[in-house]
Amino acid sequence: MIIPMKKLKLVALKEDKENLLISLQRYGEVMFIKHGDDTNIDTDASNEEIQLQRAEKSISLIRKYKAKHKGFADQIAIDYDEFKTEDPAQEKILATIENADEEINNLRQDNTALQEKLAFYLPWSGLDMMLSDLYMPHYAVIHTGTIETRNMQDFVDMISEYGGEIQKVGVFGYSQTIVYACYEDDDNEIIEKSKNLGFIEVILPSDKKYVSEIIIETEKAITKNRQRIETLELTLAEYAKQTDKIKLFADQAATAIKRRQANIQETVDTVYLEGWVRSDRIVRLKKAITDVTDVFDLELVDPQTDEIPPTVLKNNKFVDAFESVTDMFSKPNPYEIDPNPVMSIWYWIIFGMMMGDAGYGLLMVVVVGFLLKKMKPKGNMRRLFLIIFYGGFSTILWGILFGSYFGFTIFPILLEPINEPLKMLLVSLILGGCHLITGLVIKAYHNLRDKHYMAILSDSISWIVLLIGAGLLFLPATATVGKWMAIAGAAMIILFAGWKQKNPFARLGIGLYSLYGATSYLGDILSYSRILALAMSSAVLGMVMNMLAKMLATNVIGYFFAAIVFIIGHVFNLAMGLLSAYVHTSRLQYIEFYGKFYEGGGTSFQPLTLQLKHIDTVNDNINQ
Amino acid sequence: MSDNYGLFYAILGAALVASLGGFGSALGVQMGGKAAAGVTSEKPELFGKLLILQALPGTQGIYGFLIAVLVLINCGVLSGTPQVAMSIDTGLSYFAACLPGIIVLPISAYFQAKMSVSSINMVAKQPDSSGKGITMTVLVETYAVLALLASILMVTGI
Repeated sequence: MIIPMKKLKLVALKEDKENLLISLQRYGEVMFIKHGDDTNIDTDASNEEIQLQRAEKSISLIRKYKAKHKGFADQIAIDYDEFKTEDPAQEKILATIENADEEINNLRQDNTALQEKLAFYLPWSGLDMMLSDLYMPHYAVIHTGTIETRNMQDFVDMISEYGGEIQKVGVFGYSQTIVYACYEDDDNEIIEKSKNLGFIEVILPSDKKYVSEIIIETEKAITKNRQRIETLELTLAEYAKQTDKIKLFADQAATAIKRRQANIQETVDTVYLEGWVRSDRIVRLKKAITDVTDVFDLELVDPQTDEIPPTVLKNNKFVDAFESVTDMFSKPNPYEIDPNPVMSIWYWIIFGMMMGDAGYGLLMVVVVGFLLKKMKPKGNMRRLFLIIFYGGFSTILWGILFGSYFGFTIFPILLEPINEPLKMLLVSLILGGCHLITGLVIKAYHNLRDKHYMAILSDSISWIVLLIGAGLLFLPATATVGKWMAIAGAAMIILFAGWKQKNPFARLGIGLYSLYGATSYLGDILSYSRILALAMSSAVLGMVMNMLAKMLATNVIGYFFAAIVFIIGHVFNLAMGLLSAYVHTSRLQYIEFYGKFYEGGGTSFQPLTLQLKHIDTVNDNINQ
Repeated sequence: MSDNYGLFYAILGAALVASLGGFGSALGVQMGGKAAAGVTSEKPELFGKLLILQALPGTQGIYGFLIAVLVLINCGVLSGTPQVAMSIDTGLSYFAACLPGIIVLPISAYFQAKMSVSSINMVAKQPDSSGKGITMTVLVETYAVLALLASILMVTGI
């Protein structure tokens, strides 16, 4: 059912503003109304935004250092008092994590540079002179560089022709690192010749060190950096153990942002706020205010006709799960009746019929039931799980009626979809007819409430009579009754559909045009043949999987593979079936069922409340 | 080959409907998948919603397979006693019964995929409207369902 809303108008002292907001947010009962022209409101939340970003970043930084734990994530539950209190160490913790991360990044960059340096010097480690000495000699020139090993001998010969000295230093890939010395006068000629031999000059920086010294130094620096990184990572791992604390910071900041953004008008001494509250939670609302102050002026009024309050639904646990189906389409607007109680039952029936296998139903109940208990999903995820969980029971029922157990047929009570598709089609269409009639009845109820009595006759009763009559036509025993019912229904449509018109011809015209709508009813009814299509495809796929498994099951190894085929095949079939059944059952509700009466267009109720993204529950004595 | 090679036509129909249904769905799911992957790179949290949209054109393949299996059941191929003496008339009838599936399944899968891509783009901009996108995309499938129905009625009626 839809909960009626009240509009709240509250005036309070300015000095109580912050505490009042905190209290209202704690109770979470008021959705503030936004006014387009509120320019004088201080809704700057940039400090909290920064804080939120920092906390979120820290959470993702320490995530990889967190010890992996088996199974499902633990639930985070804290007391409200803890949630309310800002941790004085927050700044320090966040700064430490951020600095550690920055330092790790710098050290890693540093190490990359050092590794490159090491790679550069390593081929020169055999050079037995100080680097600065390479540039010392008079009358001679010393060159360093690489030459391909296959040209080495030619090069050595060439240098000795000029009376130069040559030394192999090390290996560098397919090349040799060498150092040679020659007379200054010969230098240009030798450079020319060495180019032809593929000599590549490598200039070593002048330094008063041996290469081996440089290598040792660099290696030391790398090791030192690595050790530092390890220390820092240990620090981060230490903080990762306190992830829950940092998650609290994030949720606290997000909560503060929402509070800061609340629309409140201020005068010199007072604040004025407007919002929507649930009419069944007025006591809690008053409690939220009196917890803070006794000086206030509270007014609760019914919504004006031009105002559309948000829609709040209150249903039992079963119906609540199916609300997500309606919400995906459009929320009910506050002035119509909640379609969910009726829709949920039909959804349940049709979903189970599309799955139609007792074995699959059992799996759905057991597996999803287990996941619901262990994972404790929230919001729409939880509702989706619940739909599958409840749908599992309906699937078991239909599976027993069809005698289908994991694709095996055992004693079908009602019919066997694979062998009797016509009968199955008939059942699907009859079920569809009943579904549509339910929609028309709800429409009649709407019209009854609005005192449009003629509309009940023209929009609902006439079509119901026509639909039932058309259905009875197909049974020989009731064909005559069916014929007259169909004619009566059609007559009612022609006569009454234009009831708003005074002009009799216009009225007749509208009546005839409305009767043309019968084609869309035909389409609607035929659309339910998809129940047959889906029930059959999942039954046939299941049967084929069993057949494949049976073909393999000839010896011991065969049994093993048969079991694999059986399990994977049925899991695949179940998954595809679930997807199709979910989507197509939704469609039948949206197009065929809701098309008959539903308006929708409601908005969701989003009260100012604690923003819990990471924390699962905040225990608060006010909620008990 | 004897004069009564009707079974060949029946199996030809089954083979075509299973292949073309699968072809259409593979094409369709691929089209949806490419669009969904693009959106997921920007908004990974939408993965669940996009996956449903991507999978929608996948049903045609199953429908084609379903018709094929029904034909094979009726021809006794699956029970190991194929009706080798089936007349050409009967065989061609089975082939004709597969035609709605052969023609409509790949085409509807392709067009449903185009719709699915549009819906995926819509969900990328408005994640809350995924229900509407799913509904609009599923509308296309109605005609695949009707073709399937026509084929089933024909196959079981022969």
